Amino acid sequence: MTTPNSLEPPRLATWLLERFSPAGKNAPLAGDLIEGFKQGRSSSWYWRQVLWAIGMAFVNLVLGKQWRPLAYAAGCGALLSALAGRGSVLPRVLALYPQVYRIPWPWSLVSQIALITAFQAVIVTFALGAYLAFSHSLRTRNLLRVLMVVVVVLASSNAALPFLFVALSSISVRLTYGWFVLVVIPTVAVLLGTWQANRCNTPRPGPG
Amino acid sequence: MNTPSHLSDFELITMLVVMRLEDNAYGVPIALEIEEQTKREVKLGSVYAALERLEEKGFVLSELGEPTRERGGRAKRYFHVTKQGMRRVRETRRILLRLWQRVPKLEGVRP
Repeated sequence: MTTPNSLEPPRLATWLLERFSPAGKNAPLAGDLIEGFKQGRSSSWYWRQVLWAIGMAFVNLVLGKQWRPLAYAAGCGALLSALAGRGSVLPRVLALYPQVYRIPWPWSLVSQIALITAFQAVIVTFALGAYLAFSHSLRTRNLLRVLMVVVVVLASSNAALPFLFVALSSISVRLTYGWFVLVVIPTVAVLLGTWQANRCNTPRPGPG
Repeated sequence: MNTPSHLSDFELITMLVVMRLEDNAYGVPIALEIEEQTKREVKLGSVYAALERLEEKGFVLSELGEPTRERGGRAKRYFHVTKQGMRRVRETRRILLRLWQRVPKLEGVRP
């Protein structure tokens, strides 16, 4: 190991490392491996190190923090999708619509959006509360900060939904209103909320 | 509940080595020092993964040096321990020493 190596490290291994490990972080690691090789390490050592680094990068990608919100939101989406067909809560909420329509426009529209947003906010609050509890950061301030973002997303999505239906019906795409209200919009809100929660939790490095 | 970030034994070793190497704390010497102390082959990928976790927790900071020809034009990534990291190392040492002293079987064995 201590005898300096005049040979070049295996090019294929270096190429693989640079293609399959995170950009921006692979250059110093590749440089360290080249330096280690030139200090007398063997080709098999170099290959072992490269394959390990690629494996670590893959595991970090799958289990890493940036993928957790996506995985959690997908899980919530699947659960809501499974419950959507069985539950009787949404029809009860939608049954309130005729009463809302008695109010003059535009307040009828505002009330409709507020009603459905409140319904979705209850679902999303439970989902985000569970996420914050699992990530050991369930604090009222965190939850309120995340919910502020979520309520804005829910309300604007619900306001845009009728326009989306009109636009998509013109190109013959059939959509189910209930599925959007109960599954798609809350899932997107959970995704954005968990991302926001992760941002709140990221520690800021202390000085020097 | 504000949970303090836990340090694994490999993370603790890595932080101690970074502190010991001072201005020369980059991948190769860090891995060599850990190998020397633990008598086991260390994967540089694991060292970087540990250091990145520590950086996320705010216990270390890193900066890039100048690229050099000997390293195929790649820069070194230098690490140093933050004040927050120092506090966590001291706290971990205090906890380990207290636990060590409470195990009668280990009496007389220096930690």
